[in-house]
Amino acid sequence: MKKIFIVFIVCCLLLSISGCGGEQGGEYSCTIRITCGELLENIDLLDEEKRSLVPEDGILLDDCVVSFSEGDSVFDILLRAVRENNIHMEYSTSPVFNTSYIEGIGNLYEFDCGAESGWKYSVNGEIPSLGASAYDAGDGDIIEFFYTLEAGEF
Amino acid sequence: MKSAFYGLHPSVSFAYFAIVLAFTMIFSHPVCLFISFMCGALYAFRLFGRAAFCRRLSVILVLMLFTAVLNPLFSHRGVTILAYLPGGNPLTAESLIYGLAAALMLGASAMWFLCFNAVMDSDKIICLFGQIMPSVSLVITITLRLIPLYIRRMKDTWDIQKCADCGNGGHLAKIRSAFSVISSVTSWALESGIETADSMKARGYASGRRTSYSIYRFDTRDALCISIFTALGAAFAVLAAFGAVSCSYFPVFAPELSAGSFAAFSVFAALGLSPLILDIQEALKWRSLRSKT
Repeated sequence: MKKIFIVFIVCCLLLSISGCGGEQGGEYSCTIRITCGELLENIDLLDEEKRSLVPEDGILLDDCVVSFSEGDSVFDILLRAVRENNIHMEYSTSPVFNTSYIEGIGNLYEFDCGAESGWKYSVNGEIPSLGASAYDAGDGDIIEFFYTLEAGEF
Repeated sequence: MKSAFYGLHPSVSFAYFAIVLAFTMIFSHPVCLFISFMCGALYAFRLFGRAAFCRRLSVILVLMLFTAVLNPLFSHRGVTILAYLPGGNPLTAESLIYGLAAALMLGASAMWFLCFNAVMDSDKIICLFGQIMPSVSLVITITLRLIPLYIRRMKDTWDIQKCADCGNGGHLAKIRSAFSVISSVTSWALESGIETADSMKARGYASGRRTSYSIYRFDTRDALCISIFTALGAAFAVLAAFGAVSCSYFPVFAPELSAGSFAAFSVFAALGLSPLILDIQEALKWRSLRSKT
């Protein structure tokens, strides 16, 4: 019994140590914003209960400077930004491919506004053809996450 | 200890349970679910008595706890972020509340099904469905009988094994003994299945159209009860149709709490408590009749 207890404590300690990894600031910095302007234009397609979630100017998070270290992906930066600003976000991670997929930000989810709606991102005004967790951010980048109604169109 | 509700015509009891269970499963307003759970639990307590009720309640509570904990682990919707799960997704107050409501719905349904099983015995099921689907209702009654029968046989066999000093010893001996109990109960079940088939054949099963004998008569009290139940049910359904018991859980938890909702809650409580009210009424009548003499 005592042995199991000790093993349990050690596991807890290990978990807590590994959980604190992403907290330290880095040497680089970038700007991130989260917008849903396209949703604002098509607000009548959205569920009645969710309309109050869309801000009037369509900006969930205005230009926010986030510091990061080399090798951090755009997704890591987004995760840090929403945590710091207490914005809701849900994502799913596939451990096999080591990728993360953003399901919803600020309770605005994919498919909420049509079959091809969801979250996309751009870096310095261009939309990369990589997932957010595979795209490494560069120093001084301007990252924008935006809600789109046509996922297929670029 | 038979309840007055038990003495009603099967169609009345069946309609009652159908209405209450349907409302419990359709309307997810937390107050409605709570009322349904409490009424179901009270009537189950009345039907089963303290010890048997507590035994069933503990199983249901464990199930409910499991459901309530499971939901916030997988659903992350909701605007109120309480904490972050180890996976990185938020733990929201809304998903917690939704988990509790789902648990309450499960518990309430389980309670009403307990009552249903106690009130609707096989005679009543045969009486209700014997004419419409004779073979199906026969199969249902036979199957329902098998569950307690096999439990009893298993217990008997287990006791005999213990007497013969088979199950006493280490874990391995116990497991071996349990397997032999299962194997002997299985062969016993197969044998008795053949016997049942033989005896049914000998008594002329399937030689003609089945008729069934029923002792139930639809009297004025049944008519009165079913009209009260349908009136209450209809009143609740109308209130619900006007949105009196609507409740949105995501993204913001917003239960409807207007004058109409409180009317709907009281109607639902009256519906849920009616078996108990019937019992109390019968007890009072019995007492007044007795004291006169």
